[in-house]
Amino acid sequence: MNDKVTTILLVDDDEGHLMVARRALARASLTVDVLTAATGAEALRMLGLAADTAADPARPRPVLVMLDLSMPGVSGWEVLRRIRESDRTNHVPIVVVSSSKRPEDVLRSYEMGANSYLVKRFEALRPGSYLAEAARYWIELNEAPGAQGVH
Amino acid sequence: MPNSGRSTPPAPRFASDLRGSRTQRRVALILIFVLGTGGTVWAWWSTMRDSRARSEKTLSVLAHEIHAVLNVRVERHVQALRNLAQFWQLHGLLSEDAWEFNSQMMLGNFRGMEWIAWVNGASGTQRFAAKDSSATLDTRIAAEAMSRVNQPGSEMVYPDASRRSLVLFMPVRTPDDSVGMLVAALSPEKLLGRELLTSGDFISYAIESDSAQIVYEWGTPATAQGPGMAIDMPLPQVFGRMWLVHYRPTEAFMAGSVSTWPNFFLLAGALLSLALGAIAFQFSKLRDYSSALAATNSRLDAQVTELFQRDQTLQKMNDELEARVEARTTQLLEVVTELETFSHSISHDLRSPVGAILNYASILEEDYGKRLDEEGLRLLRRVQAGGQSAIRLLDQLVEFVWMGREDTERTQVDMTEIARDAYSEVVVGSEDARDVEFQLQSLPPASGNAALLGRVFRNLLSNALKYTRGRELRRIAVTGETRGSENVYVVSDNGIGFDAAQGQAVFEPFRRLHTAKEYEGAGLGLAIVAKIVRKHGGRVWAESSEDGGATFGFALPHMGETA
Repeated sequence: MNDKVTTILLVDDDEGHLMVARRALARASLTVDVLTAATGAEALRMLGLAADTAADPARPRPVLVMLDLSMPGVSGWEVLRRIRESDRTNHVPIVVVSSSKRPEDVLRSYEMGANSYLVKRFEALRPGSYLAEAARYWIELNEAPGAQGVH
Repeated sequence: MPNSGRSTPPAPRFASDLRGSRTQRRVALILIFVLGTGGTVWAWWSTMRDSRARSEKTLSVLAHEIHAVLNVRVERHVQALRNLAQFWQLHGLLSEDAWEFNSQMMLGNFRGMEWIAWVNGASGTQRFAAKDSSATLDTRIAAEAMSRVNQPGSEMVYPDASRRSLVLFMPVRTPDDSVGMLVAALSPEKLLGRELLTSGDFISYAIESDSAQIVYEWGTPATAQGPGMAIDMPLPQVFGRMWLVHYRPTEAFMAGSVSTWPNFFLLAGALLSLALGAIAFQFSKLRDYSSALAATNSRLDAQVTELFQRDQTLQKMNDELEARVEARTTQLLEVVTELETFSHSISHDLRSPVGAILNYASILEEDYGKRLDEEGLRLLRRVQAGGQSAIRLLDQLVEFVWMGREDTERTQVDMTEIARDAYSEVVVGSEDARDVEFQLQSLPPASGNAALLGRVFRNLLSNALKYTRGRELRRIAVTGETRGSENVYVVSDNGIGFDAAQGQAVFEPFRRLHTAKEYEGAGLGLAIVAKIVRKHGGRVWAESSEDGGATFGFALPHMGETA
């Protein structure tokens, strides 16, 4: 399973968050390629879901998307919707990572097809370890139906 | 609108309206009745007068007619007798044959003559001839005739009781000096003839001699005749005697002439005027009623209109009020929503930058921690602690804001279990909680939202844990009981307590019991407790004796449960 490089996509407009997440994932010694997108539009482009991009077979196909909701421009909701609308990506596990604890946001995320919802934590000790734990679960423990084709 | 400002509706004056016209109506009724009756009486009287006048005239005509006939015939009969007497005076007494001839001729020619007789004054011989062959000369009349012979020229009328006739005595002196008396009886009814006799049904007459003796009567006069109904007329002198005939109406005449129709008219008139009066009375009453009704009706109309207008005004005011309330409610809801959105976005948007501070602080520590000296690391830790504190505050703030929005689903909640769960939750992660003496009584159940009530216990118990830290023997107790209509729950500890002067203010948001230096906390825990309890219709309180521990209580109304 680990002989092939696995790609995960982190989408967040907060650069600090992205840094913490990268470090945590690295620390967790997960053999993954971490792609990051600072905007929703960039995320869609990287996923080949933007209107002006054609499907590229060489394009990396992330096995997990960790998605922030509140972003300027194309919001996380929009990205979530587009991923779920496309036949190519609708099987990809999506973990919403948001600073919102609002029940409405949680409920809406699940209704739109998110597989998990994490509220951002700011631990002083081993920051971002919750992200690494979640990523480990989705990559190593969870069996996603569409993921079989990737391997 | 003040009630005194209204004018009370006028009382219906229906009855008084009628009362006012009643006198008028009575006067009108009496007037109509008097006029009607008066007119009728006048008509009756004038009709009676005319009738009487007509009757008088009829009677007079009838009497004169009869009298004329009587006059003529009596005259003729007397003349015939006189002629016979003269004949005898000239030629001497007639032979038997001549008497027979003459008497029969007289009786045949003169209808009114009943009989004729001759009485010789000297010899007393009598001759008698009558229409009735069986009749004979009355002896009384014969004797009378004999006695009168000595008084020549005088005539007598004698009533014949049986035959009711006028008897004439005519002295005759013949050339041979024989004196005799010619006697004849006249029947007045026969004199009058059949056509006039029928009038005897209506008129009666009596013949009176000059000696004031009624010698002949025909018919019966009416008992009540009235003035103008008596007609007296003299017959021509018969042998120097005056005969007066009294004509009088009979009962039949009176009944026929004085007709009853004026009386009927009187009655009919009286009835008519009564009926007219009654009709007028009813009509005027009706008119009065209808006018009174119309007046009342218009008053009612006015009142109804006024009521309707008042109702409309009220409706309008009500509508305006409702619209205003609705507008205010909408505004208020908008403000509340705005406030909630605001506080949520504030806390959410603040979370990211604070999170960024924390993220970079941890990256700094990881990458450069080894290069920092003791003081640098201490300062970094302070940055991290401040950031963590801000994050907690924001998290609690979000929770506090939610609390008002969630619709609480109410169920029967086992408060004992809830409190036990809450305690086990709050002691997780606080390693020093092992030496806490926790006492939990059996608590009365409550009606409410289990999650929120659990939050109440968690906040109160974590407070208790927090403020008993440092005590040698830490005691936390949860008790509860039913008191009146409430279930009371109390969390007490032997911690450091708080300034009792704060009172209810400890339940205000961001109100800290102690400074942040000594104890961590956002200052929203008790505010959330208060908010949840109030949402359940309950109340909260806090008591503390300085350094004698703190007691936080809340009471919930127990609805439905039997205590």
